[in-house]
Parts: sequence; structure tokens; C-alpha cells
Amino acid sequence: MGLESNHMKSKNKKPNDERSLYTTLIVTFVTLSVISLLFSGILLLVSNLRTQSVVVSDTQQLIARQAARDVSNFIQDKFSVLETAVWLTDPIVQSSEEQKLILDSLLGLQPAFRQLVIFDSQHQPLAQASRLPLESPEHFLELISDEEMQNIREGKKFISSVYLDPYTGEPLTVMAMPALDVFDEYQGLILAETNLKYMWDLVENLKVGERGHAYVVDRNGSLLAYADTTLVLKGIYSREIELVNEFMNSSSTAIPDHASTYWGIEKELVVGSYVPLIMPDWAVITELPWDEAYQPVINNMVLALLIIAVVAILAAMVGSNIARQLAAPLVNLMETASEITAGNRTLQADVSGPIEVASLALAFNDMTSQLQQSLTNLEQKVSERTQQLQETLNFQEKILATSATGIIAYDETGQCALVNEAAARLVDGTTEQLLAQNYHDIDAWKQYGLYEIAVEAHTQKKETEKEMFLITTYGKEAWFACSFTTFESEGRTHLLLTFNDMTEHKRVEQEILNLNQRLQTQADNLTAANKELEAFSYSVSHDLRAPLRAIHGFTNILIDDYVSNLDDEGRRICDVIQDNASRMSLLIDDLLSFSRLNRAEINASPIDMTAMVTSVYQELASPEDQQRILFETNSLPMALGDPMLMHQVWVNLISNAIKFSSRQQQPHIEISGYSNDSEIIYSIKDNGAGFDMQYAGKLFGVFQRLHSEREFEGTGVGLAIIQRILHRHGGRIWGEGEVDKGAIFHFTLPRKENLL
Amino acid sequence: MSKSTLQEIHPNSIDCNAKYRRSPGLGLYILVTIFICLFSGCDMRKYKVYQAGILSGLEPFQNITDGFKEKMTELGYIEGENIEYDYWQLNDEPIEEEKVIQKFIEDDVDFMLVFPSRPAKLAKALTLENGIPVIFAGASIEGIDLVQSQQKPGGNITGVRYPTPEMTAKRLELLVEIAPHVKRVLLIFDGNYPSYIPARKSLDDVAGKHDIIFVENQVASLDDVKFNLEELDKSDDIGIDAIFMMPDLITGTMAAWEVIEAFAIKHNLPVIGTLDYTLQGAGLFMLNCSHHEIGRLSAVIADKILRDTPPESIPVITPNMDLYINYRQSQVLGLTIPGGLLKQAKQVIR
Repeated sequence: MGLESNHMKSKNKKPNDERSLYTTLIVTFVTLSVISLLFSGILLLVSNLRTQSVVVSDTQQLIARQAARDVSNFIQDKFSVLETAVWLTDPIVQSSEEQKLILDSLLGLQPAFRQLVIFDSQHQPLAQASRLPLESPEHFLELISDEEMQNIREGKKFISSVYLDPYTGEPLTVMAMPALDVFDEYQGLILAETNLKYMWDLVENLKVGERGHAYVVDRNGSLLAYADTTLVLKGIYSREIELVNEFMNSSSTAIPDHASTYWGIEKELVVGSYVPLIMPDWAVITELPWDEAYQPVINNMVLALLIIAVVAILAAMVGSNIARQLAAPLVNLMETASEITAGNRTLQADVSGPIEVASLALAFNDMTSQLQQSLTNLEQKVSERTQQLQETLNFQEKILATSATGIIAYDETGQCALVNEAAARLVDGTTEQLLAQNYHDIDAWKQYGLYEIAVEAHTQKKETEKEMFLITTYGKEAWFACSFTTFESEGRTHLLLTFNDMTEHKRVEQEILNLNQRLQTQADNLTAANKELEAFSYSVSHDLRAPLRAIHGFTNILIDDYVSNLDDEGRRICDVIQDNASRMSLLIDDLLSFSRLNRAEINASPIDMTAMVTSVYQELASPEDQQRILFETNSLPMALGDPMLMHQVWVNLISNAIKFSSRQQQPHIEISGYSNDSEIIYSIKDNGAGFDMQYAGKLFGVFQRLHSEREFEGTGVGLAIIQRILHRHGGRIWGEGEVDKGAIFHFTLPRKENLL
Repeated sequence: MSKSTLQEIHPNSIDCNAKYRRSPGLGLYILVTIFICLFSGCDMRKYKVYQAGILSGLEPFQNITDGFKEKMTELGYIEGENIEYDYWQLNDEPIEEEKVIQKFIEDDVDFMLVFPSRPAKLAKALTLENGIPVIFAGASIEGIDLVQSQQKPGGNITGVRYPTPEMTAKRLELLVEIAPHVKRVLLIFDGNYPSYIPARKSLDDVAGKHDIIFVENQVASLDDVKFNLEELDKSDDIGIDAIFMMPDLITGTMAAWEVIEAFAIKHNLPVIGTLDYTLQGAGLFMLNCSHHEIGRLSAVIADKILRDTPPESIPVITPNMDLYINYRQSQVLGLTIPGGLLKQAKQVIR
């Protein structure tokens, strides 16, 4: 059962993978194609990426160097102008008008110069020119440290750190060009405030790829020049940019030998490189958007993806075609199976596709045909079984409904689950009331101890019977014979109560009991009376024997000694007295024998009845009788009994047969016997005088005679003795007869195993 | 075994091949679409049509618009394709200025370019609630509460400043350098113009250094200009050595210039104007910012705004000052222009 259940489960289980074979094949084709192409494409892309990295790095370095040269040239150009002016004009020694002219000329020459001042060797301003309203020039000297001023005195050029114009936000720097005489003696200097925004166009025009850009930062990270001038005007510090930070932290003026990838000034991923300037202490940074720098790689990647896509589509198309060829017959088979499952059992699958699938379809069709036949047979059997089951159920329901016995079934919780009408009737309730009961809640059961019996039977699964008087929940007072037993159903133990109303039975039983008690009393009285009667009979017989012997003796004396004194009548009377005395003696002997039978011990032993019958017949029949009587006997069954008593039985029966058939011309006595399961039956039949069956009841009474003394002599005790002996042996006797046609007597003895 | 034979054997069979005859075109279309979306490098500026309002408060500032459009075109904003300009040219018309700005607001323009100072200040006031970005051009920022600072303008406004204080002061320095005899200067000005006070302050600083005395002539309209000069003309001694014009919209008009120029010529006085066209007449020199350049710089700011940069974070740009010398007029007046100045001049008119 377990295996079958698992099998059924697996058959009904929903497939975990809901993809169709068609989809699976296409996906497989596409996946394999894409994976192989992806693998080779990735290898190619990695190779390209490495190559492009080197190219990009070199290119960036080249561009950065060029940009650095341009920026450096911008500054050097300004120094050159100042140096030329100093060399050519010797401005320190010129008149103030000439000095003014020189400075105005320089302003006109270099738009980047915003203000120019000539200081003498004592750093007193000699002349000043400005694009803005003039202001005191001494504050420019504050930008120069003593060390730097000493360098200027030694003829070295100077450029200050960058500062911003408070009004415009533009970056400014101060450039100083010393003026030396022919002996290299320091005479003074020309100081130029230079607006670095004129560097902006230069930086903006630096070509860094298509979308790249360059910018200039100082050692503090301040942005000095950039195409987006608003960023410069903001005075922002670009220290958070990785490359700027690297420059700031590097005291070296060495040019890094590689390009870096980082988030650039425009918050986009860039490939950048920087080149520090020697003078001023700035750096030019060039950045190229990563996607532009690696555009060839991206193009290759796009191309590879396109190829992959095309191949995937082709693979999908090829896969679709192959899958259709493979899957369609299978799907056909599947749908045919579904339709067969839905009830169209005569449907057959299309036998098409590859040979394996076609063979499968053929096998499937064979299987469905056989299945169809099996199902038909099965349905027929199921129908027959269902009908049988229904009939059985109907029969059981009828039995249950018509049963006089009350039947109630309780489930494992004690709740009534089934009840028949007899049960409701017996307790004076209704089936609905009983069905609503839980035996754990029936007070009447608890009151009369039935509840404990029920619980014990239910829990210990034992059968219990109990008769008791109780008053039901519905008020009925009666005796009930209750039987509790349990049965299992669906793994649960149910309690079954069957009961009957025993009230009438109890009443009758009580009456029988009372009657039996009366009968026993009467039997006891009768037994006592019989014993007294037997004792009396014995006593009387014994006591009568002495006067009878006296009568008989004196009669003999009378006949022997006084015969001569007697006339004929006297002699006849004496003979009568003697005959009656003899007869009375026989009666007394028989009566004593009959009485002794009740007291005699039964000494049972096996008896050869055939031998006993033959012996008795030989004893009783004279030789004349034996010649005249047709005596027949077969082999009689052996019997167990007291030989002497049984001998008496046969003596009485055979002597009666000889006696009552003696008047027949051809007496016929026939003795037979046979045995059945319980007893042995012997019969003795004669063709004698017979008797009237209406007096058959008197045959076995003591002193009962159906014939007169004159017809057949006898005391009328013989058959009574026979009956008494047979009763003592557990047997019985009865007779059948017809007047003048003979009689037949049957008697039985128990088989020896039944003999008490 | 052929299919036809098998079909004959199983007439109830189902042919379900048809449902697998699907076109591969859909998959190809999806893939191509994905590639286009991934690698096309979409630039929304190419697909959106921006609305820009331009208000020029004075005719001589027209070049700002030209420079602006020129630079915008260079930046990829093609008029009629992805940008439309609602351009309004006024000439000292305060009431109309407000109407135009209100129209810009109602049209919900993406930004408005407004110049010079007075319309710019008005635009700032009118857009406080709706937050439409305002770009000013050629406007003074000193003393008129137009921006919080040059580096962080704040609010919804930024632009290209007109360096009025330093430029006005430098003009006076140049006048003194070219015409050292000048001590009395007729100062014609609109005292209510927003930039007047800071400009006057810087002017007074220079005047103090060179012992210059201003003969003030405040005007509120063109008629005032005419009237005041006519009154002055009635005097036997007009008491001035030169005429110095302050940057405002009354004296900045061509009509006012014609009146002033005529007065200067009549009295053989050097006159220093504020706008380029003065050099075409009797103007001695001109120190000014190129309106065309101001327009171009404004376009840079507009581009950043259209790229979602908040205006308040875009610093105010200061244009360069250029010196133009009317050498011919100096000859008329008998003045000698220092050689150094001639070398500084961007243009010398002979």
C-alpha cells in the first residue's frame, strides 16, 4: 500500500520545472552560443582593455606635457615681456614720464597685466600703471617674503602664490622681474599683477580628445584655469579630486609615469594625468572621459555584443526550428495524453517526428488501447463491486434498522457516531437525541456504573457484557443487557454498544425460577413419598411373607393330613387357598424385587447381548416350545450394563413374548438391535395377543394387566421392573401393539461412553 | 514511415506544429532597441525645446543679445530647434519692462536674460515666488542688492556684472590723464538709477585725488537733460571743463547723447560717454565692456542653468574692460593722448 501510495503521489505531482521542452531547447541553444561567444569576447576585450590602457596612458601623458608647456609658456611669456622691458628700457633710471610710458606700453602689450609698478632698490614706487583706478602699490610687496626678496635681489624672477580679486573672483598673481645693472647690481624691479583669467582661453583651447579638458591647479589645490570659468570664479578647491590630491601631497616635480582613472572635476569617470610645472608651482591636469578614452574597447564590446545578439537570434531561430521538430510530436503526445486524461479515451497520438518519438507515439497508442480495455474491465468490475457493496450496505442498513437490538457506536472522543432506531426506541429517545450524545456526559451511565464499564472497554479494547436495571436519560425504567466492544476504523478506536430490553425476559425468568422452586419442592415431596412407599412396600411384602408361608404351610398340612375329612368342595377350596397363596407369594416376590431395584447398586460391565438373549431363550423355552416357536435374532450390539439386571430385562421380555404368543399356531419371536450416535436400541417383536394402543400408557404400571389372569397368568409387575431397570441404566422403553396381531417392545441403553 | 501514412492510421491525432511557427522578428527588434538605448548617448537637450525670455532695457545693449545667441548656438542651442527666444527690446520704459517680465513668468520660461541693472532688479523681485532663473547682463551688482556676493549670488539670479564703480573711476582717471587741465566736470546723472550711488562713491575717490570739482546735473528724464543743458547754455560762463556721463538709462539713450554731444561740441568740451556709440561722435574715449562679450558670457551661465545647475551657485562673471580712444576728437579738442594710453587702447579712432 505504501509503495502504491508513493507511486500515485509521484504521478500526481506537479512538475517543478514548468518550462516546456521547446523553450528549454531554445534556451539551451542560445545559452551555449552566448556563453561561448561571451567567453571569447571577454578574452578579446580584456586584451583590448590592457592595450588601450597603455595607449590611453601614453596619450594622456603626451597631452598633459603639451598642456603644461602651453601653460608654462603663458607665464614665461609674461616674464619674457618684463625681462625684455627691463633689458631694453632700463626703467629704473628713466624719467617718470618714460617709466609711465613703459608701464602703459606693457599694459597695452599684455592684457593679462592688470597693474604694473616700478620699484627702486629701496622698494619705493617710481611709477605705476593700472587698468583699474590706481591704488597704493606697496601692498604688492607684502606678497613677497624676505627670502623671496633676497632671491629677487640676486636677479631671480619671482611669481607669488595665487590670490583672488575680491570683486571679480578672478585669480591673480604677482610677477616680479628684477632690474640689474651691467655689474649685476640690483637696481629695482618691475612688479606686474597678472590676471590669470587670460590663461583660461589657453586652457580651454587645449585639445584633450573630443570631450576631455584640462585645468590648472596650484599647490593648494585652488583651481586656477578651467574651461568652466564659473568653477574658477567660485574659488573652489579641487582637493577632493584624486589626482589633485596626489599632486598636492607630492613635493616632487617629477612627472608621473602613468595615467589614473578617477572621478574627475566634472564628477564623471575620467582617465587623467598631471604634469607639475617648475615655475610656478602649479600643475596642469588633463582629463579624458573614461568612455571616450576607451571608446575603441567600448566599440569592440558593442560589436561583440551585437555579434552575440545576432548569433543568439540565429541560435534561437535554429533552436526554434530544431525544437519545433523535436517538441511538436512530443507536445502532440502530451496534449493527446491530456485529452485522454480529460476523458477522450479513444484519441490516438499523431505518429510523427523522429523515429524515436514516432515509436514512442506508437507505444503510447498501444498503451492507451490496452489501458482503455483495462479501464473498461475495471469500470465494469467497479460497477459490479459498487452494486454489491451498495446491496451489502442496504442489507446492513436494513439489518440495523430492523434489528431489535439497540446499536450505538461512539467515536474515539465518545461522541455518538451511529445509532439505530431500535436503540432510540429501547431508551424512549430519538435517534437525533442519541446522536447528539457523548457518553462521557450521560449522567445515567455514571449513576448506574455503566460509564466506568464503557470507559474501560473503550480504553482497554475489551469486550464486556453487563445486565443491569437502570432509568434512561429519557425516563425509561428497564432491565438492559448491554454489551460493549470496540472496533477500529480509520485508525481510531470506536466503542460499540449493543443492548436489549431484558425486562420481560427477567420477568419470565423469575416466574420460571419460582415454578422450578415449586417443582423442586414437589419433587422432593414425591421422592420422599416414593421412598416411604418403597419402604412401606418392602416392609409390607416382607411382613406379608410370614403369614403367607403360614397359610401355605397350614393349607398343605390340611391337604396332607385332613384330606380325608374334606369333601370335594373342601379339597377344592384348599387347592384354591394354596394357589392363591402361591400366587400371592409370587406377587410379594415381584414386589420385593421391584423395590430392591431402587436400592440395588449398578455394577456395569460389557454385555454380549446376543449371547445373553440366546441363553435366556434357552432357559425359558421348553424343548417343545423351541420346536414350535420361530425364534429369530441377529447379532445384537454389545452394551454396558449390569449383567444381572439386564438378564432380568431379557427374561421378562422374552417370557412375555413366549407367553403372549403361546396361543398362536406358529409363534414368532424376533429380537433385533442397532445403535445410533447416542444410544443402542433393542427390539423384541412377537405375533402374540398384542394389545390395544389406547392402553399403552398403562403397560409399565405396577400390577397393571391388559389381559385377564385367566387368559395369561402373571403378576403385572414384569414390565414395571423392566422400566425401572432401564431407567436406572439411563435408558427407556416403549411398546407398540395391536390386538391379536402381536406387539413390539423397544428399549434403549446409552452408548457406553454416555453411561453414567 | 511517412507522416501521411501515419495520419491515416491515427485520424484523431492533433497537429500542433502551428503554434511553434513564431517569427524571430520580435526578439531582433527588442535587442536592437536595447542596444540603441544603451549606446546612443542620449542628450535630452537635443529633444527638448527650451523657452528663453530676453529683455533688453536699452537699445544700445542690443549687442548683448547677439553675443548671447551666438554663444548659445556654439553651445548647441539652435534657435528654432531646441530653443526659442522671446526677445523684447525696450528703451528706458519701466512700465513695459514689468509687463514683459510678467509675460515671461506667465509663459513659464526656462530662464530669462534681463539687462541692464534696473530691469534685472525688477526681474529678481518679480520672480521671487516662482523661482524662474534670471540671468542679468551688464548690470551693476554693487549697492543695489542684486546678488548676495559675486561668488555665491543666492536666490534665483546670477549673471554678468557691469563693473560700474571701477570703470567709472577709471574713466575719470583717464580723463585727467588725457586732459590734465580739466578741473570742473559736468556730471550728468540719474540719481535714482540703482548703480548711481556706488559709482559716484568710486568717482568721488578719484576726484579727490585729482582736485576735480563736479558740477552736478541730475536728471529724471530726457527733457531734464535738454532743459538743464539749455539753461546752462544760457550762462555766459558755463563753468565746466568737461562733461562726464554716468551709466544710467536716461543719459544712455541715443536721444540724450545727441543733446549732450551737441552741447559739448558747441562749447568744445571733452565729453566722456558710457556707451560705444559715443565714439562715433564727440566722445573722447570709451572705457567699457564689450556688450557682445557680455552676451557670450551670459550664454555660458545659461548653459549651466539649463544643465540644472542652480543659479545661486553660479558665480557672477566680470567682463574685461576695453579702452577705445577717439584720436580724431582729441585732435579737435587739441589734446595730446599719452603714448602709453594709445598702446593700451583696443582701438584708436582716427
